[in-house]
This record gives sequence, C-alpha cells and structure tokens, in this order.
Amino acid sequence: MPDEPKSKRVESGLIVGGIIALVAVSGYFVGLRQTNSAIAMTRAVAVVKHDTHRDLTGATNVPVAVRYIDQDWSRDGPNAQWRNSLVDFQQPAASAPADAAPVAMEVKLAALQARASRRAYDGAPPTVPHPIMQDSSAACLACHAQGLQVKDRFASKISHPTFGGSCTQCHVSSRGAFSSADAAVFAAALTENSFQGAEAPPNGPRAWPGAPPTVPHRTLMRSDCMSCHGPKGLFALRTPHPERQSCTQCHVPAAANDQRQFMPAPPLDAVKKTDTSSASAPPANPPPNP
Amino acid sequence: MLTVGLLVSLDSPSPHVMDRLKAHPAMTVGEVTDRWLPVAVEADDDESCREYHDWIAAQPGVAFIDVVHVNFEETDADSNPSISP
Amino acid sequence: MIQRREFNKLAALAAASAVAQARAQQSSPGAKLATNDEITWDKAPCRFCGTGCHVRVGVKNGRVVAIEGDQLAEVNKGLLCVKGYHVGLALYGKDRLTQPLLRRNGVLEPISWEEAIETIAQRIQAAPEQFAIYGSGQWTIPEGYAANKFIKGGLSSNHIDPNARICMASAVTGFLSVYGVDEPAGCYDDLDKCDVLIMWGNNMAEMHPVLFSRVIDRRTRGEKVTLIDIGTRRTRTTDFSDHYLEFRPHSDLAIMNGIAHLLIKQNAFDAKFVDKFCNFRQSPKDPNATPTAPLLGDAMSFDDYKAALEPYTPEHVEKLSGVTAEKIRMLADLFANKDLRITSTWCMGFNQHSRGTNANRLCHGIHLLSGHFGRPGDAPTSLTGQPSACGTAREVGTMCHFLPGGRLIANEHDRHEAEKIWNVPEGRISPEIGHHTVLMWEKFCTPADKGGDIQTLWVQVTNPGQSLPNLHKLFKAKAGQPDKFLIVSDVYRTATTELADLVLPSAMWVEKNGMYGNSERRTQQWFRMVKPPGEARDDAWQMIAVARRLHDLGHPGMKDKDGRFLFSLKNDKGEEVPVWEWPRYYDMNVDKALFEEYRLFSRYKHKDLAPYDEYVKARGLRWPVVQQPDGAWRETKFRFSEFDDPYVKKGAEIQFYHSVTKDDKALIWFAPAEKAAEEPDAEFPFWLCTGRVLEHWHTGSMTRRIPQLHAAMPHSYVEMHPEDAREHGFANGESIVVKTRRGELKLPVWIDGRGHPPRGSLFIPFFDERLMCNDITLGDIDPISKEPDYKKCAATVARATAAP
Repeated sequence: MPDEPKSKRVESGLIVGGIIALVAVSGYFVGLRQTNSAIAMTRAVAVVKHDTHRDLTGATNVPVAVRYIDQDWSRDGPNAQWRNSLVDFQQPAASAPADAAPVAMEVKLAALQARASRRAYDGAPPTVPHPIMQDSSAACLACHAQGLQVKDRFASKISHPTFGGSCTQCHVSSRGAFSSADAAVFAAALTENSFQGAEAPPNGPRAWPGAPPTVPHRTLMRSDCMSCHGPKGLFALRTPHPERQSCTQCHVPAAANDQRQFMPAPPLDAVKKTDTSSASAPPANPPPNP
Repeated sequence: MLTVGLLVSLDSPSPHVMDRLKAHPAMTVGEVTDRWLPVAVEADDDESCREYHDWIAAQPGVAFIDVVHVNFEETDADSNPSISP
Repeated sequence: MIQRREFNKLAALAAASAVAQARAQQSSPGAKLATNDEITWDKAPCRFCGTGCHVRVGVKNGRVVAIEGDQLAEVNKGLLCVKGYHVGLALYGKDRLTQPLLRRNGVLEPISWEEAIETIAQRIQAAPEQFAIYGSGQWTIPEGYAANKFIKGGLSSNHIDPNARICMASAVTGFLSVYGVDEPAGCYDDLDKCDVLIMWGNNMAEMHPVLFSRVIDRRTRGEKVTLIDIGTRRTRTTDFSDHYLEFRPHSDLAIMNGIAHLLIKQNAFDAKFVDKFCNFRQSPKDPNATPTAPLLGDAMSFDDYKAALEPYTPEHVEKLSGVTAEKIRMLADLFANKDLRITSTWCMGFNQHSRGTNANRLCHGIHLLSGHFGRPGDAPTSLTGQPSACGTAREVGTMCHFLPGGRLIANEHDRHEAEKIWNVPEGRISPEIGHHTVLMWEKFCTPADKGGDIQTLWVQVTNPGQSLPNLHKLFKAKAGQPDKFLIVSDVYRTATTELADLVLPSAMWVEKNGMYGNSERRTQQWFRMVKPPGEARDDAWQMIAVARRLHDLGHPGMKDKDGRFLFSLKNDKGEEVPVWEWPRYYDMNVDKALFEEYRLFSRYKHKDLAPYDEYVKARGLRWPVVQQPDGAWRETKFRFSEFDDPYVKKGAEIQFYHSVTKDDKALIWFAPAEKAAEEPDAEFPFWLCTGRVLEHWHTGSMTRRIPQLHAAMPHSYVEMHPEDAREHGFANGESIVVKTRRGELKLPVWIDGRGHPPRGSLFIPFFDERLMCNDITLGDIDPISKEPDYKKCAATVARATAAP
C-alpha cells in the first residue's frame, strides 16, 4: 500500500522531468539551427579580419603549441576528419516517403546495386566503406548503434543488436588497414576472383494486388528491419509507414525464403539422441580396463 | 608569397563551381576526381589566404575544404609584381 | 624566378590532386550479381580454423553463390566470422591450379594425370625408404587416413608428419603427459558456463572470433563473465578484457608457478581433489633413458613439489615476468575460489614455445591443483588453428610416432593391432619412429651424401614454403639440388610450389566429400556440392592412385595378407569399385568406406566414433560417441566426469581412465621457469613475435584471393611501440628493415595500429607471401613435442635504404 503514492510521485516526477528535458532539447536544436544560419551568413557576406602581426614577445599565458609529433593522432582515429565539419552534423527530419510516388523499379534496382557493391553476396556481412578504428568496437557503435545521417551520408543502424560485441569479427574495412608508404606496391590483388554472389531479390510476391508484400530475402542477422527499411536506410528501400512498429505482423517470409525449409529433413532425432542433459545411459561398450 | 594546395569537396561535381574557381586570378584548378577538386591558391599574406578560403567556402556546391599543402617560400616574384602572370 | 613560383604552384596542386585521388579510391571490391533463382543449401564445416563452425552453403548452377551461419550448429549457433562468411570465394580465385605440372628445364609444364601418377610411383618404387609425406591438419579425416595407411601399412615407413607439428604438437604432449591420452576433457560448453575466462597468450577476438563472441555475447544477455587477457602485447582481445596482464615473453611458466606457489602457501589448493585424483611429476633425470622418458617424467612427492615451488613468490615472479605481485595474487585468489568456474584457453602462445610441453603441463597443473576441473565451466582447453588438426593429425595419427586412434609406433602391441585391422602381415609396420617435421625438411634440404636421407617429399594441403620456421635452412636450401624431388598437391600456386618439381591440382572443401575434427573432439561430415575446376582431383584419390600404380608395379607392400590391394573398397552393396580410376571414384562414397575402417581404431583409447551415417545427420558429434541400449548414439561433452562420461565408473566422480600411472590419476607437473632459446641482447635488442590476423588464414593462399579480405588487410606489417619508433625516427607506414641472425625483412611499420606491443617488442603477421617473416624466425624446437618456437627471437630494426 505505501508503495503506491511513492510510485505515483516517481511517475509524475518523471513526467515533469521529461517535459523539462523535451523543452531543453528542442531549445538546444532551435539554438543550433540559428547558429548554423549565422555561420552561413558570415561565410557568404563578411570576411573576418585577423590581427596577423600581433607581437607576442614577453606575453604570458600563451599556451605552448603541441609539437606535431606529440599529437595523439591515434585518439582521433581514421575518421578524424569528420570533426572538421561538425556543422554538418545536424540531423535532418526523417523524410516521409509516404507522400512520395511509389519507387520506380529502376530506382529500387539501383539501390540494391549500391547495397550489393559492399557485399560478396546477398546475406554477406557488408564491408565498411570507410577506414575503421582497429582496436575498438565502441568506435563502430558510436555511429551505428542507432544510425546516423550526416548530410547525404548514412551510417546504418545495426541490424542485429543481439550480436553487438565484436563488430570487426564480421565487418572489415574495404579501405585497407593503414596507409603505408609502400601501399601501392602491395595493393595489387593476388588474382581476380570469379565468384558470383547470390543477388538480393528485388521484391517479394504478394498474395493479391494490395496485399502486404512478403519478405523477399532471408532474415538471418537482419532482425531489425528498420536498419535498412527505416529512415536511415537507402531511400528506395524505406518503408512508407515507419510509424508501424511490428513488421512481421503483416510481412512474412516468401515461400522461397522460408528458412525453416533449410533445416534438413529430420534433425530432431539427431538432436534427441545427442542430448546430454538427461542422465547418461551406461555404455554398450565394455568398461575401460585401466 | 604563400602557395597553398587545397582539396575542395563538392556536393556534386558541378561545372558551375569549377568555372568560378577557374576564373579567379589567384587560383589554379586541377582535375576533378569524383567529387574532389584540387586547387592551388597564391596569396600575398595569410590574411588574403583566409579571404580566399572563405570565398571558396561560400560558393554554392562546396561542401568542405581541406588544406593539404602550404609553401611560405619568398620568391623574387614577390618583389617584382609586374612580371607576375 | 617565375619558374620557381610556377613550381611551387604545381607542387601545391600536385599535393591536392594526390589527396583527391586517394579520397576517390573508395571502390569496394563487390562481386558481380547473379540472377536469382533456385539455390540449394547444404551443410559443411567451415574450411578455415579449428573452431569448427558449420556453414550453410548455397549452390546454384554448379557454383557456390552464398554462405550462411548454420543455426542448428551448436558451435556457432548461426554466427560466423568474416573469413567464414567469405569461405565460398576461396574456390574461385582465377589462378586455380587445373592440371598437373612437371618442372622441365626449370619451368612447370602441363602433363597428364597418368604421367604424374607414374612419375611419383617410379620415384617411390626406386627408393621407398627415401620417400616422405608432409601432410596437414587440413587433410580430411579419410585423406589423412589413406596417406597414413599407405606409408605405414604399405611402404613400412613412418616418414609422415603433418603441419600440425608446427601448430599443436605441444598441446598433444601436454595432454598425453598429464592425462595419458590426447585432447581436451572439456568443450565449448565451458565457455557458456565459466565465470572467469583466462586467455593465455591467446588473441581470441581475432583468432577464434566466433568462440570469443560466444563468451562476450553472454554480457549482452546480462550475464557476468570476467575476461583475463594474459599476453605479450595489447590486442583486440584486450579491448574486451577486465584485466590485462602483460608478461615478459617466455615468462608464462613463472606466472603459473607463482599461482601454484600461492595456492599451496595459502593452503588454498583443493587437497581432496589432489589426494583423490592426482600424482606429481617432474622432468626425468635422464631424458634419453627410453623414448617415452621425457613424456613420463620422474615421480615426485607432494613435499618435493612444494619445495620446488618455494622460490616462486609473487615478488620473484614479478621480477621474472613483469606482472605485478598483486596481479599474481589476484589470479591465485581466483583459482582458490571453488565457487567460481574458471576456463583457460590457449593456442599458439603456449604451443609454439621452446618449452611448449611444460607450458601446457603447468596450465593443466594449476587447474588440477585448485580442483577447477571436470565441472562445466571449469576446464583447461587448448584451441587449434586448423579445421582438422584434432581430427586428422591427432586422432588419425598422421604423425611420425603415432598410429590411428592414439596408438604409438613405439608400442609393439599397438603396431600389431594396427596390422590386424589393416589385415597386413605382422611386422609390416616399422618400429622405427619417422622424421618429425623439422627433421624431415632438414633431411630433405641436406644433400644425400651429407646425410640427407629424404629424396622425394610429397606435400598435401599445406604451404611449408611459407609456414616453416627459418626458411632459408629448412626449405629454400632445396633449390639447386636436382636429385631432390618435391611433389605438391594444392589448389593455388604458393611459396611451396615455387620449388616444386611436380604440382598436382587438388579439389578443395565442398568440391569433394569430407570429414573434419575440431578443437572440442567434434567430428563433422559434408558432401561434395560442386565439381572441382579443370582436372583438379581429390587428395585421397591421388594417394590411392599412386598406391594402385605401385601395386601394379609389384610393390609387395601394396597388398594385404590375402593378396588384396590395400585400398580395395566396397560400395554399400558389397561390390568392389576400382576407385583408383578417377571416373569411378564417385561411383561409391570412398569417405564412408575409409571412415568405417578407421572407426575400428577408435575404441582403444575411448575415442569412439559413430557410424558415418550418424554424422550425415548431425552438425558434428563429440567423441566418445557411445551407443545406448536403445541404439541411439550419444556424444560426450565432459570427459572423465562421472555425470557425463559413460566410461567413468559409477561413484568415481572423476576418473582419468587412461592415467599414465595406471591408477586413474592425472599428473601435476613441476617445470621450472627457463630462459627463451634466444633473448634480446645489445646487438639484437628487440623481441620478435609472429602470428596471425583476423582477415587472413595462415599463409593467406586462400584468403588473399578473396577480394573483401585482401582489401581489408592488403599486406603484412611490423607493429612497434610509438616510443621505439620515435627513437629510431620511423614514421607510421614507413618501410623499415627487421633483422635477425637468420636474415632480414623489409616491411612497413604500423604504430598504434591494431595491436600494441610494449617497448622493445615487435610483431609481424605471417600471412603475406611477399613479406615472409619466417625467413627470419628462429626454428628452435621444444625438446619433447619437436614444435618450433615462432613467438620469440631476438631482432633489430633499421631504416630502409634502397627503394622497395
């Protein structure tokens, strides 16, 4: 009984706190937008004058510049240059393709082609199109945990959050490990590879015109549909109704991709026979003779 | 005299921006690769350097500028502006 | 002066253009798209490491088009690593070997298979005792079995050794001398149950990534597991670890002695467990007394053991290892706590160690001493690097001193048993132990008149021209000796085919039927799914065809007691099929026939294997697989533990039923901390360590032909501490020269990259054929296991002078 008012207090406290946070956050973004436009104006119109001939002899409190060699470049990592254009980091509102006309097949195929260029086959873990931090998975998740948009570039959201540990186990950079002076000498591939990967099917069959389309591809390691079909996915692949959360309520795997079919006919008896959770029966073989 | 090598990142390779940069007397424009445009800028001092930098940044279609090369060398041309091109 | 100004301008422009081009080079090595129709899927274990993940292979129009993690597989539960996901591409490098090649006047020229088989048979027939086979932990079980039977049961020679000798021989001698029988008692299930995982010199995040994820994904589920990385450099594994203990190379022996010292000093060892299940041992006074003396050791009392450990106080161990006394105490406290479940894993750090056997023994020792053994999650577990190092090298016994099923050449009883199963006359198997790997190559590279008694050497499924240590001495010295004949069966040209006289194109992975055995005693099976390119053929067929040709040439060893050919194989209907004729090879399942014969060997050491068909149904089964009264076949997860191992007597709790001392007890060994074979000095002040990277598998002959993996890791490098680099004035990415007493190597330096070696220490991966670190490694071997130390030698660095 005494718990009830307490929990109510907590709840109302949360609501008030939430409102404050909301106001603060929106205020922050409003401010951000103003700052941006101010910067843009300054750039276009005025040129800041700099005092280039200040005499600093005898001045105190002048910070000592860090020697170039002492700079901790590793901290910045291979994507350090992103910091140079922080102004670009504003998050555009999620586009609403619902208003747009249905995506033309060519556009969709082009999007699939773009996707395929980073995958050996449909279902392969995509390679990373930028250099990566070599010794930290946290660096990957900084952008890819929730997805990020910077101007026209998208950092896609992780599609398999339950496997969120060691990113580089499956995803390697297509840009090499580091830049060496002799990179050109070593860059040449040993040989061409004639592998031709399975293609991502463009769309899944519908039961009748107007029925929700079936999922045309396999879904292993793709449990978060919004990774590709959400607002940070490729435009042509986005869902027209991002507000609906439960994708598999209406979209089921196409028959050809029913992953249950890939399980071999009767694994059940093999599983049963090898189950060791039950007490073991005595061996049919003679007991050991040490 | 400063000679500066800039890497201009374009939103998309548009001939309009390149023409404007080419027309500028202090700038020499290299060949565009994908959406990256190399530009060499000659300037009298670092103040005019900044002006040029901001001018390029203000051009529509320019996304970002990287400074990749700076040369502070004094040449005779500085003391004899009449023969500069 | 205009020119000067123009020059400055051009220089500025050139610099900017270079960057523009670098930025534009973002091209991803994507593959061309296929049309999407029917894809058929089948299971196979991954071709690469010893983890033994199962993949699902998607095949369309006779070609592999997709790979997926197998959700039914207990090992990987649907997950793979980047190599596994791209394993299908390994088949399609454009330079696959497609026809037999014979070296004539220095050039490899195409010949027919008949000629090739004839050439080999003639050389063997002329001097069978000078013929040797260098095999592999990538051989399938039936392939290794065929080779083993051919040379030991047919040619009466034991000159066969696998590359596993340079990979996990020390783990074998460790297991044998502690438990009396090879291979881990625990399994990967321990990784799901342990509270503490200690990785001894083991960069699991890169080398066994799927197993590593199996542990760290437990954290995602809210479980607590403490990871302890004991290593000689910081790696990706360190990033996930709760504790990082950096030790001086080779001082791991001191650390383990320090733990044992504290357990005893604080009376925190498991006295009951030790009393019931353990005896004590130390190195023998006379290691040459008998061939097995180093393996068996001399008995010692508990008091002797205690006294031997006396000097290893935490402070003394700190001095030897660089690991603080406080951290040594922390480790000892963990082992002292019986409520915790502790799993230890190791791989090449312990094994490629000139005291590798001792390192393995001591690790088993601290688990036994503390009683952290035999419960799920309490296990000392050695990991392997090749898909069938356990299955083919260890279980089939394709080593110079082994016979199948854990039998020893040195043991007359074991030889006679093998002769019985092979139905060959008694005395057919030579009692003389053959040449182990390093000796075999030394003998092959030494001229015949100087004692080099191997003249013909057949290499299958491995690349010793890159992976042997000290290559100048052990491989390259073959050049210029026309009487030495090197046969290489492989799928691509490698550093080994460079010196080959005869190259045979092989079928690989799902181009043939196969069976592998992984690190946790799991035997796996797969079927052929696509055809090999050109005239490439199965390795087992090559061996059988040569045997048949020798049979026809009249070699007496190719016939059994009843005058039948050694490989006279029958199909399911009991009809003999002439499988030595290639068109008939797939008229029956040769794998099944060979495996069913091999299975007869497996009961002796309780490594019982199930019938072939059981493996067809399963995603691998862990031996001993024991038939139940209802006819079902049951695998064993935890050996020697009563609750799971059917061979343990009721009420025994733990029974080491192959005990060296024949009293069901395991051995706790004492081994002193010793110096490395070569330590840094004034002239060569750096430690040099070699190893692997995530993207490439071993010598890279497959992975370097996979565009995605090549793009991610295009070349080798040397890792160095930034302070060391600064002292030498090296910039990141600059090519430098690394020198040892054996030679020098020029390669780019990587500072603050993926791994972070401490000061005075270097690391070079060995995957790159163009930058072969084994030109400069030491090649000193463990006296017991004969496994070379690749992890430690003295080196120096210098600025590169000439152009690359």
